[in-house]
Amino acid sequence: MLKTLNTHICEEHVFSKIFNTLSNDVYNFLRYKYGDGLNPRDKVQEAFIKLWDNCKNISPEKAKSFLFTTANNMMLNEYKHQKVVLKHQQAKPKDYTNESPEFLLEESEYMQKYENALAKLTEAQRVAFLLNRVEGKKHKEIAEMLGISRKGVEKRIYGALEKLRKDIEGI
Amino acid sequence: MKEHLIQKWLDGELNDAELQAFKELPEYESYTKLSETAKLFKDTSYNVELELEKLNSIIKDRKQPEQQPVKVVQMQWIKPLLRVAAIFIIGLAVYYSPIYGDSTTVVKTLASNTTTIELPDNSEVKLNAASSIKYSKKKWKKNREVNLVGEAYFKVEKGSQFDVVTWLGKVSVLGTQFNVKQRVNYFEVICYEGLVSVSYKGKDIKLPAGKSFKIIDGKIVEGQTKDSVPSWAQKSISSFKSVPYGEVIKEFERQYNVVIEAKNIDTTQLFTGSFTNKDKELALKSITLPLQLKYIKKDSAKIVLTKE
Repeated sequence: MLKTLNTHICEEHVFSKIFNTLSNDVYNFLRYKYGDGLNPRDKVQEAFIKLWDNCKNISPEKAKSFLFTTANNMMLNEYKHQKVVLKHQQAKPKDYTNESPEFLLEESEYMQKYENALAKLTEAQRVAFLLNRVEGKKHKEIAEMLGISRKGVEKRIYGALEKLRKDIEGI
Repeated sequence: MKEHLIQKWLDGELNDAELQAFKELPEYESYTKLSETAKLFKDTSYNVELELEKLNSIIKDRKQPEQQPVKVVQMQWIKPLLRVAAIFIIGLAVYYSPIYGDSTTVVKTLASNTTTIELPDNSEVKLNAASSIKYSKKKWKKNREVNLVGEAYFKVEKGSQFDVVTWLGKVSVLGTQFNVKQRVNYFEVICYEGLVSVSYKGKDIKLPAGKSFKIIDGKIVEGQTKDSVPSWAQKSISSFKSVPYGEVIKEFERQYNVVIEAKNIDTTQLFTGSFTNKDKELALKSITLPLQLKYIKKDSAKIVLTKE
């Protein structure tokens, strides 16, 4: 946590520190919720600009929830219910070629299904699941971040996992 | 219990015994693969330091008042331009959407293949070799219309008007069974049940059951049939009644995916008869013997016909 007592966001080093601690989280949160299509990077910037503009009125303890709410609202303004698309990386670096074409095809089909299944999760499920699996965040951290109970986080992540399994493997 | 175990795994809280139990789950592999694959969605390109630099430069830029007016002026002429561009794009989209909208379905058959298609209202289309149909699923309720190239047999469910459009003519019905055959210089409609209306060059011709209608090189020929289903659709036999021999050869090429070369043979003479679509040898005899022709097979894809 930040040591925020008696500090002021308008001071540049405090502002930078907040940016360093939180910008990545805000970015990931937006990405997992809305996908790569809506420039989450720019929205993070805009949210921090707003924080800077209001630095006199916001205490450092409130900065976190201010950033998440502001960034989320900015996204909502542009969000037109398009399909959520998340870019992914190649599964493995190609330094060997002994994989059969069938295997490669299966893998790329799996990725395709994965992408579609992710898009079909609810926003709440996707955000919690990816923060947990990709960012390695503990349930407690996610609960704090989203302002919900730990039980709720558990439910979302587990629900997402089962739904993905169902969608991808057709069980 | 299982759910609890998985939740603990998700939170990284499993002890050794629990981990062992987790690994013994039948779904263990599937869970770990899902978990591992998720990691590929990480965006490693996000660089906090770089983003902070960008942010600082944005905040600093805003403090310089000279830049503000320039930006405003730029926006003022860009905005109307964007509007014009938007209208233009929307216009184009609307203009093209009925043609290129993904609501149209196209079904094609290759040479020597036939297929059966069920339309959205359960009407049935049997498509003969080397033919294609196109129709719109979206507009089907309002407009039962099929575009046809080649030959097809239609069993139409009762309902609103059903149109088959070819570039030679249009066939309209309400609910019936009929066959449409459209070739380069040849157009044929045979009605097997109900009443069919054929429009050809602005004229409407009504065709009752058992009647057929043919256009050969622009001339209209009316005829009759005793069958209740076209022979190609039921028995895989291509039959012809007073049809130019050239059309018979072309049908043979479509059914067997071969090329036929007719040497000094009159391809306009009329042919009545049939050939099977299943036995090439037998079919060849059926179309050559009655006219006293000889056939030579050059290779598997080419046949030459000559006079005896």
